[in-house]
Amino acid sequence: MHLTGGSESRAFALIYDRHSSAAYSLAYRILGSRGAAEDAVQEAFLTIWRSRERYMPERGSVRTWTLAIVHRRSIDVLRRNVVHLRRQQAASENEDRHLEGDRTELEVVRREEAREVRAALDELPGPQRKVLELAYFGGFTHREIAGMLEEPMGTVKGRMRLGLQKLRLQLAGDAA
Amino acid sequence: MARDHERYAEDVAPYVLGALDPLEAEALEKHMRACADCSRELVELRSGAEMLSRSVEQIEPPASLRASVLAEVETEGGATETPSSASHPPATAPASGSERRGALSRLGTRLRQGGARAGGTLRPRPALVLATGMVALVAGVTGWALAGGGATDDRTVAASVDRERLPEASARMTIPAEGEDTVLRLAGLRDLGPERTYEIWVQREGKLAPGPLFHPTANGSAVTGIPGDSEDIEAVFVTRERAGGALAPTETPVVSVPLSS
Repeated sequence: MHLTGGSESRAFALIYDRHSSAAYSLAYRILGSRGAAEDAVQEAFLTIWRSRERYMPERGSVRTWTLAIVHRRSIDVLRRNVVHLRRQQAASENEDRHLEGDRTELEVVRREEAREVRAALDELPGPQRKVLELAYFGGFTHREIAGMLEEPMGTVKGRMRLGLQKLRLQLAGDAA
Repeated sequence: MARDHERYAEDVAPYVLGALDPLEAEALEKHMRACADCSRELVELRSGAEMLSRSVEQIEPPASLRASVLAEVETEGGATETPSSASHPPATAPASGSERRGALSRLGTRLRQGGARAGGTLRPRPALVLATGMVALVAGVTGWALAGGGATDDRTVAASVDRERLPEASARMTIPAEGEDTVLRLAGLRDLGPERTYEIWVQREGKLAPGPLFHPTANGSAVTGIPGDSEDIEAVFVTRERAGGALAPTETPVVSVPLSS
């Protein structure tokens, strides 16, 4: 199959349709603001479009690639806004979430999947889960986390590695 | 050199989590371009990080965001970025500047090539089979059985199921007289787990385009709409792909629905 000419933008639209919910959900989780999440997702998808020639499947699925870019953009935004607005805005915007209404089968599956992954995350030892959440969702560097937890940086990095490995293996085991 | 490697290796996890300072990240990316061990570790830990992204509560973006992104894409046309921004870092072999093949065409090609990577085993290149149309498809696959059938105003079309890979599956497609979406209904499907998904492929004018992704319910059934005008659909296929889907099929279809003679 060759996607050329106008097919490129149509294929990109398909990528957007498939992954924008996950992307937006992740950005919102990190930034805690709908407006900031929209900006981050827009920037991320335009980055994907502009750098599409460099997609390398051996480094992960389109979804992994997309979410990695969205995560990076969101963390960039978070760090630019030193004040973590999300903590103040989250409460007021929770009501604004589009959780009701028609749900496609895919959305239902993703919500179920999210519950399963959260359960897997809960299985991790507390110190490992904490460094993962502080880094991935909180946007803190390993240095900042080590300072907050009063732990050596090597310990923090080690917990990050172990936590990611366990999460991957745990979910791979469930899939087998 | 070994000490350098150890120093960098412990940075891969914080890198995947976005927890390195920019200079540290840049140094690690440079190291990983030449270090197979760290590159392998990157791929493994990234799948762990992807699980984190999947754990968040799912909310829908506003429709205006889609319109805005796609309008920008239409405006930019075929523009691509030079390999300096860190969208898929680090590339072991940066893309050649002379390559000006279109966008997702290349991406689709790479996905097809990626069919050989899982577990180091070679898989068939069904995209080639599919591209030649239904005759080659049917001739190239053994063990297919007819399931479903019938024809009314809302046409219900026979589906072929690969009995070797989906021994208990059945499928039928309903094409409405007008207005509604074409719908593919399946039963007896196997659960593929979180790492894999079923993917629809729609053939029009001899060309395949990827369609919706879907997972069966707990009882193995699934109902999915086929996007676009039903009149010009020549065939619909289903394959099993990695989570997130592919832009070109990586296996011979497990279900096919030929519509054109």
